Amino acid sequence: MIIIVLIISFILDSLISNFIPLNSILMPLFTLMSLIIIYPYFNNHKNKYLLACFTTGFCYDLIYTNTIIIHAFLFLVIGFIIIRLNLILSNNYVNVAIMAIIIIIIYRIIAYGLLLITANITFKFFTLFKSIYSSLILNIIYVVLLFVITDRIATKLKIRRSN
Amino acid sequence: MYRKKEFEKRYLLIIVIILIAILLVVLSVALKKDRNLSIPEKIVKDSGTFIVNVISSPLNFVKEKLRENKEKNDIYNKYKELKQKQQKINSIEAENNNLKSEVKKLKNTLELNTILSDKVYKNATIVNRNIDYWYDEVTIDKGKKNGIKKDMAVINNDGLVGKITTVSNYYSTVKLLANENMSDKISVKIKIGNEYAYGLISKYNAKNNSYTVDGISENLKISKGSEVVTTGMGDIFPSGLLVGYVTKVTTDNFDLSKVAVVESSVDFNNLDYVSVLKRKDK
Repeated sequence: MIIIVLIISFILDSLISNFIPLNSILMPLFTLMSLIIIYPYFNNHKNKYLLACFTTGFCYDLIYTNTIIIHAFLFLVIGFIIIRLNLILSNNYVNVAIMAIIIIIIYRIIAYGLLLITANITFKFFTLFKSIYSSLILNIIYVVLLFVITDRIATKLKIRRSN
Repeated sequence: MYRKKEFEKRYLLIIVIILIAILLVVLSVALKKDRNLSIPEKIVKDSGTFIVNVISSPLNFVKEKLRENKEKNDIYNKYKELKQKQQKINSIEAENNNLKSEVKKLKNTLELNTILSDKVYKNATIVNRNIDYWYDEVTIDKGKKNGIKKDMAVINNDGLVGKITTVSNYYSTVKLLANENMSDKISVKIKIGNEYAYGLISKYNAKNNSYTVDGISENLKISKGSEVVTTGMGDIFPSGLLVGYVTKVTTDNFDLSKVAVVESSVDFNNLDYVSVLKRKDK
């Protein structure tokens, strides 16, 4: 289940971005969203979960962005935050949507900060704001849909998951 | 006991600071613009992009069919347009041949092996778009094995698209000009009658798909709709590549030079096929 969700989201990220115009308000971050969905299926094996986040980020770097460890590091940090959020929020579609919003905001802020500090890039502050709101709509829809689908499959196949 | 704890805290703080410093150094290396891909990176990128490509091919097929259908609906208008153009083609072709032979003669007279506008085309298809918000890059299906090298110019039918930034064996990444963080200034010239005004592209505005060209001489009068092309200076873009058309002309803050807003001739939302340009070798 975990691997299927990750692979589908990873490929969908690329597929959808081919159909969406540049600077659109529907920027896909499906791989990042899948990290929220897969956490309960690790049944509190946090180290395994963090390793999965790191590996996914590393693949994302190599195939999509040509940066060696930026996303591996970012996904690892996001993994930590998802673990923390899961301690506060229970697993239902409203909370998953809330988590998605928090994760997108944190992800964009860290990526923006890292690029400013390490890559000598001068983005305006508005660009950060734009990058956040343009990622919200599509990803919230995706994360809720993915949650509903995986939840049904897990119930049907009796796959154990933490709440 | 208290001292030991204090020592451990300090020790931990030093380790954290060192780790952050190392991380920042590694990240700055990873984000270096002129970094070449290592061999394992090339292999993973090639195989990963190939797999994603194979999986997305049915969807791309549907997309292609939809576009074909749309084009079929528009075919009569295009036919009329082409018919009008055809009348001019013969005279343009004759003029072109004449100019070609003149350039050849001049090159021989001046003993020049290459001129700024000499270029070789290599066609490519866009297979992927970089999904990260900050980069504005696309991946094309031609790489090192097809003779693609870093910094080559990329165009499509409408004009200049961008330049090659990273090359793997079978795929390359193109940095689009539609990039709000434009670090390299591009030298361009604006056509004014038979003369040119020179300037530099300094900014891209995504909202109206336009560039800001500054550093233009104050004495020149630039009219709306003037054609903007590359100058060929700077060793990356050959001369004469269409960039766009002037939509607005203002002066800079100190009234020392003119600033032109140039609408891009390329629709960056509809990129499917591109050509990679290579300056002709000597």
